[in-house]
Amino acid sequence: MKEVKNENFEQELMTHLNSLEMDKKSMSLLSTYLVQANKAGMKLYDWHLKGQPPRIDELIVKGSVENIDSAAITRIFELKNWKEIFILRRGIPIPHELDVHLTFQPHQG
Amino acid sequence: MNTNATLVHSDPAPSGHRKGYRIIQVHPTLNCNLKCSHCYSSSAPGLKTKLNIDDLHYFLSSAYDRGYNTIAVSGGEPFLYPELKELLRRSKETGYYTSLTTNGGLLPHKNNRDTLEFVDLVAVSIDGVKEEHNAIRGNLKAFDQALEAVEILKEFRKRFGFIHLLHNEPLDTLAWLCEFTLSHGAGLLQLHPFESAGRGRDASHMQLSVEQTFRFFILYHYFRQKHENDFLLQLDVLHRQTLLDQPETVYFFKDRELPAEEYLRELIIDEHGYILPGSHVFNREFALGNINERRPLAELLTVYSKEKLEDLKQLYEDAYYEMLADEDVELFNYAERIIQHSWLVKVKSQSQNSKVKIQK
Repeated sequence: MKEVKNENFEQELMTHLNSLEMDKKSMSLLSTYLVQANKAGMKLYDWHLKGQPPRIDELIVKGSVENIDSAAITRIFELKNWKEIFILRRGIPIPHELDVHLTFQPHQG
Repeated sequence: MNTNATLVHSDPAPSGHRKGYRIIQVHPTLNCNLKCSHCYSSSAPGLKTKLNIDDLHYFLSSAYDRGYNTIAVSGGEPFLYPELKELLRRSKETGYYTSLTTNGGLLPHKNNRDTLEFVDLVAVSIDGVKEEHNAIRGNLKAFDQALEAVEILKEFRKRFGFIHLLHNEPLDTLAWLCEFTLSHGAGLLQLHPFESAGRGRDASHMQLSVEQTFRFFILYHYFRQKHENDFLLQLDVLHRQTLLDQPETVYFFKDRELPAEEYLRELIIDEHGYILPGSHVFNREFALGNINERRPLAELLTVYSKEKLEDLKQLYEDAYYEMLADEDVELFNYAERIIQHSWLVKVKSQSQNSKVKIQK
């Protein structure tokens, strides 16, 4: 699987989106994941796509969640089609935010 | 004016200003120095209809007393309204936050520069790179004139932003627009999808396809993140999930009785003086009245609450459920959908002899 590096992300994203073969379903899934991540309170700071254009095998979004409470965790776990969730508490001396890496897998069987 | 949008939605309230925006969008004239192919209000050179400044001021004063705190002057080209400076001066004296949307072409004139004293925020319309902008505007100088206006705004240290009509155009345009906004130090970039209204009805080739809307929506999320510390990027498209989570975005408040103002957070005064909810092209059957009646907004709201508010609430509710029921659609130009629905209600109200009256 090809992984898109962050520095080339903009170019790769354009390539994906400009691909005539990229179907409406893939774009719909991507849009939904982005909205969901926002809804979960994630302030996104990075994305990665995996897959050979036009196919998107995985979407990895990275973001921070400022309010650490059980509701925030619940919202993240309620997201659909996630394959992997990585959560790290951050803050010195007292953790005040979560660093979250979410991997979405559109084509789950 | 080329888009049916209000830039100040996303502009942070100035310090000390009353919390929360209630906006009055004023179209004092449809006279314009350009004749853009997508103009939803069909503005064009030579249109003579204009608002009476005293009627307008009377209404705006009464509206301020009811909590409306922002005016957004549009058009037509606002600088072709002879009383623009007076309108803005009086509005500032009243206490309003003032903004205007312009193509920039007339800003270099001295009197227009002087008007800037009474403007808090200026939105300059940009349709794309020079050739695209000029082609849409039907004027080979339009882009350079807009750039000249931007330089004047910088010189006067005015807050400004850009407003762009998203249409059938390359995705790269969005990257270019963001760089353009960044390079000029603008604080805002608003993206408003093409609407098939006014002269835009004859420009169907500019309509965004479903796939293009998705592509721009995804890119918007990327650029919003990339430029979050540079400027505010706004896209006037709603995702289905947002509609479900925040129905109040489309003025749908289930099982809640709220004052009329909550359903009328944005009022539009068209070039004939009609006071409309939501949009310049909203069905006039839903008008609150006309500014030439010289009735204070408080009185108009009282009457509206008795006669039309239930119809308006029903309209928003119907439009909301219709959007959700449209399962094939995930991204909505909600303003356009609500406007379309307002015209469907007209047919219904006429056929069923509804209490909604047509404004003469």
